[in-house]
Amino acid sequence: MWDRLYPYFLWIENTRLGHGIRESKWTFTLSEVVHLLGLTVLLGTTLLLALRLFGFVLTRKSVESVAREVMPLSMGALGLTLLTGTLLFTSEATKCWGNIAFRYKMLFLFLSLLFQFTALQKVTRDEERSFSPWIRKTTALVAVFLWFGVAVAGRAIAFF
Amino acid sequence: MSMREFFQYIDATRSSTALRESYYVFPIVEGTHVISLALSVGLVIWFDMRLVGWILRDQPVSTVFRPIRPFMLAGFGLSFVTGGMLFWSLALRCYGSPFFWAKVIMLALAGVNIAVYHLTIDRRQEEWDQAASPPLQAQMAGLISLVLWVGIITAGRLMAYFL
Repeated sequence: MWDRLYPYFLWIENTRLGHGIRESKWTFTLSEVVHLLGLTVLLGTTLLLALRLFGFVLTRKSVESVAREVMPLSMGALGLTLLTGTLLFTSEATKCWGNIAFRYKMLFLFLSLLFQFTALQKVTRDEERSFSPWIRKTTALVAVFLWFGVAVAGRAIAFF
Repeated sequence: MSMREFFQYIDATRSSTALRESYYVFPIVEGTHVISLALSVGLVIWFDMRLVGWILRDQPVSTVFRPIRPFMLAGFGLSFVTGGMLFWSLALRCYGSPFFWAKVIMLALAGVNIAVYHLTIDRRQEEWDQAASPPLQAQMAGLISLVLWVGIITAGRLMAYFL
């Protein structure tokens, strides 16, 4: 299945955008910097929410109101990370295609986004406390595991 | 011994060479250094933003800071140990990198900022702990910290890119 995607990766890389990023040294480098800054804030938010769901921090404030305050920043960071990640990918799509770490990263990214906007969102907007502490903690752990998985696989792209 | 000779000396040690040439240890240390950012900087930003008065304004500053501190310190510990190892393995190349020196200077400034905050305005924290907007000096400490960490991450990334 992955083999059949190659022509599309090649096409993406040869778009004007792909060429443009490859030829401008600073677009690529600055995208990498913003990608890392966005990731730091995104993982930091996930950690803070997880620590709150575990009852380690900000215990005098409800999970929902902590989430309400930190989510806009988290979503902004997610947007920036996805945008710069797409730019980086566009400039070297075929290299990514042949990179095993990239495939794992995409798998983790898909699962992270899915989990973020289903389970984590449900648990952090749970005004009626319908979920048991056990479910809340498991959700926090899975979210942290998935997002850190994206970061670890992403870092590993450079090593393959 | 000049600074350059000192860096050269580190670079030539057996431990530096071993780390530089290791097949698995170097990538693991580098990966851990990057991921530890989420724990260190990813957590300190919440305290900084509370000091500036941007978020969690209904929470006392101390209740934001104290419970987060152990996790944040663990993160910074990991960042410094792995960062130190990376520097040790690439000392000579670091010496020639302007981004390395920018990073070192900003790290030193971050240290000074933390020390000044804790030795001055933080001593009177009970007086403004509940304030949605802390006094200007505390706000400045938070803002300076945020700016420096963005600068440190940027310099670190550029340094690795051009090394």
